[in-house]
Amino acid sequence: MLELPSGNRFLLWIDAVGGFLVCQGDEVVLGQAAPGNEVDVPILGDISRRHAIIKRRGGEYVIEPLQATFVDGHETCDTTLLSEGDEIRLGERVILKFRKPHALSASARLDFVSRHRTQPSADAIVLMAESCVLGPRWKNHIVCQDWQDDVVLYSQDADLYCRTVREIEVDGKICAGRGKISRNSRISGADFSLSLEAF
Amino acid sequence: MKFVHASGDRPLDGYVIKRGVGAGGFGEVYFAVSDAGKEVALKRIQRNLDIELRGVRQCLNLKHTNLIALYDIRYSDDDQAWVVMEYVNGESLKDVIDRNPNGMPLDQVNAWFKGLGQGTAYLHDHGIVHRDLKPGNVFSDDDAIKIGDYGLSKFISCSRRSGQTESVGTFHYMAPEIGKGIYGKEIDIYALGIVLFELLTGVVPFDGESSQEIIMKHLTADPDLSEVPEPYREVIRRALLKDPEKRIGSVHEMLDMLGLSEDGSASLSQPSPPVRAEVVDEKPVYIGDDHEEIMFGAMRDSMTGRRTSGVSTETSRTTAAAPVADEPIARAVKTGWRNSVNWWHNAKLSVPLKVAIVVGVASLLCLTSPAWLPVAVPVGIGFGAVYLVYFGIRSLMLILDEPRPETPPAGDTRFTSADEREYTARSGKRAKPSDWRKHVRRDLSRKPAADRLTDSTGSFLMSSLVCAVMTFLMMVVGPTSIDASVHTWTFYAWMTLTTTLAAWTILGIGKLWEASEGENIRRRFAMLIAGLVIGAISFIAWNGLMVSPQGGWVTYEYPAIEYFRSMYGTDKTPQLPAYLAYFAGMFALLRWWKLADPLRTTRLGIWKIGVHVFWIWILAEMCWPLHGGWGLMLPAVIAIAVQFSAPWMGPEELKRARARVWQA
Repeated sequence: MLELPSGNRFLLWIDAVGGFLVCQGDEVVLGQAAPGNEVDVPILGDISRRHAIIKRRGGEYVIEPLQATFVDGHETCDTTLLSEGDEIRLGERVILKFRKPHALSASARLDFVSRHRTQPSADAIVLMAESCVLGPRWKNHIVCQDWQDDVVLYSQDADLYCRTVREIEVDGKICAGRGKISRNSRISGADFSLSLEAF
Repeated sequence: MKFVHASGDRPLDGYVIKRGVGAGGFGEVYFAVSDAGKEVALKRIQRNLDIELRGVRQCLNLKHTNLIALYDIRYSDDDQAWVVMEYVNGESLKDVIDRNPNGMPLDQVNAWFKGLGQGTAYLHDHGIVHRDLKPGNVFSDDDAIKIGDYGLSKFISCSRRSGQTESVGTFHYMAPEIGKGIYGKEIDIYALGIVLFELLTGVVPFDGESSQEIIMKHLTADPDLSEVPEPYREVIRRALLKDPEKRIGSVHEMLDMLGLSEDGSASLSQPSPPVRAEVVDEKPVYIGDDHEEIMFGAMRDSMTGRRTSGVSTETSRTTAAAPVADEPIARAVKTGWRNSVNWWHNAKLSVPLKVAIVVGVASLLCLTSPAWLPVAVPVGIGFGAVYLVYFGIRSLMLILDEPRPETPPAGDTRFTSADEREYTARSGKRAKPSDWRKHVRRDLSRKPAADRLTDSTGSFLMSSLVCAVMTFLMMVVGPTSIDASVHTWTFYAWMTLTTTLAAWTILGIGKLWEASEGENIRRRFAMLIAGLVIGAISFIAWNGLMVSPQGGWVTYEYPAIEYFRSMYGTDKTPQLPAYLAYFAGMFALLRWWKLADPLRTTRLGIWKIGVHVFWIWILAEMCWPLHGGWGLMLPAVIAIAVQFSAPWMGPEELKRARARVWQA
């Protein structure tokens, strides 16, 4: 029986930056975007319905291939440890880059190298552990060049929170520095705005 | 950046907004998804005047791969007009230029400009002037170049950097006649010229602190195209003419001149058939080795007379490898050998016969070897030595005869000027307008020979004076007894002679090399040969003058002497090999010519002298000492004399030169 992934992921729409698929689960299934196929990361590409699983173990990530999967050009048959900059190829054509940009956070990111997209469309996939850091610095999970400060989304006791140094507005309510958010919240600050969308 | 609509809003029936993308001169752009799942861009037209949407209506049914498709104009319930457009999933040309602050590689320039030009040409062919061509309006989507914001340009948007900052950078792409309200297709051609310049150099040709300053430059200033290679230079020059009548007549013509029209070369996706055998239709290759120099530039196609922007490789006549390849004796020997080998392979001799001949000749040589070996070996070695000396001198002559930057022969587009050679040679790190040293050096190269001779004579006289005085000073200060004895003065004469000779050599070579930055390795090699000559002369002078070492600093208790025992006499005084090694090492180890560079930062750098002496000390300590402490005084005196006497531009003139280049 397939485990339904909904509830463990959301879309993050950041104005003037991009759209991101954020997966919070410790296990993320990559598979083909097809009607009725519920996988965490549905990719519009020539891959199997359930192609590979990326698992988080402590601060490390491993990939468990279900179908032909290559890491940095080598086919992997067993669970393989992923490290910063690894290129993951699913099937013949779909290529993703694994990145773990922030040293203090266990969260990672998958970028498309090949000309493929998720469905619904997202520019990249964030594998979120406890936190996801957005902001102007290059080592952030999502780089937002024109922003003044970092904005951190983090989960605590199954709830999501947003934290920043300045005053922010969450769903029309002003919060100083920290606020509880839902998977459908609208968050805006002095120089940014973003929305979460559960799906 | 702030947007009116948030994710999830449905201002327009049938579309859900996902996120804001950006804001242009005409309103905000959103990424939205239709109810069926089609991804689109929605542009919220700021001012709802019908007259402004007329242009969009005119463009709704244009179709071209290089134009962002317009799907529809729709109105929301509050009568707000929206343009529904193709969503482009890629970065803008502005982002790409920002990532390449010194200009983009030529293949990318061609790919971008081809798409940009063909899209614009299509608009012009349909009677539409874009009016707002700029990098922020051009996008890439999976390798396709897409132009946006056409049809909307009733009024010219201001910002180059699409964002809130609309201060400077406002009018960079505006043709001068826009001020008079003339909006022909010539303004697009002008804007394309500016964009092409920016693609190649990373900067716009007319920049300034204020919009007035930029407009003023559009009206009056000539663009500095010295960094731009042909054929781009000519295209930009003609596209940026102030008088719209005189500008290039059409975008098609522009693309033709660059070989980027539909059937031209330099496409990323469809490689066209090679026009010439040498035309490499791939990524521009940068100078990787010494054998070949890549030349970009317009080439006349021998078949059709059409220009192409291909890349051809041509063996340079000024490379280090050239002397080896072209050395006539070596060439003759090589040809002779190759001919004999060919003859041997092609001769109508059966294999057993060939074997017999080889065995016979070999045994004959072996049997008679006592007769010829004692003669042949020394003769061979002698020939080898003579050849080596000859080869060294020939290399030296070729190296000293480094190419000086010169202006290209007019009208001959097949030859690029030295500037462009250098420009292309460094395509990886492109020459910037701030690269003032190059400009100054070019100016230096234009100095008449008479002036150069005067400079040299002056500095030669000065340097010998400095050498004489400094040597005397050191003898006075140093632990040497100065008396009227002949020994004191022969030593003094030897010291002065050696240092003067070295200083003159450096000054002379430095003068020859001041017009270009040059290659360190080749220069060091030339210096090494000069060092050998000086070493020999110095040794001859020491013996000729019958100098005896002057006490104090002279010790011969160096451990290194033991390693190179053969170079030193029984009393541990250095012999000819030690002199040769010492001076050759000294001259090859350090870039002495930098001390004579007129562009050096200070006239007399104490630090530099220290560094020179330090390295010579290492050399003496580790390898070949020369008369103990005096061996270190030599480089000190030479460094001081050279810096003191070599012409120097001085801080004021350097500053002026820098400013001049900047203004240009």
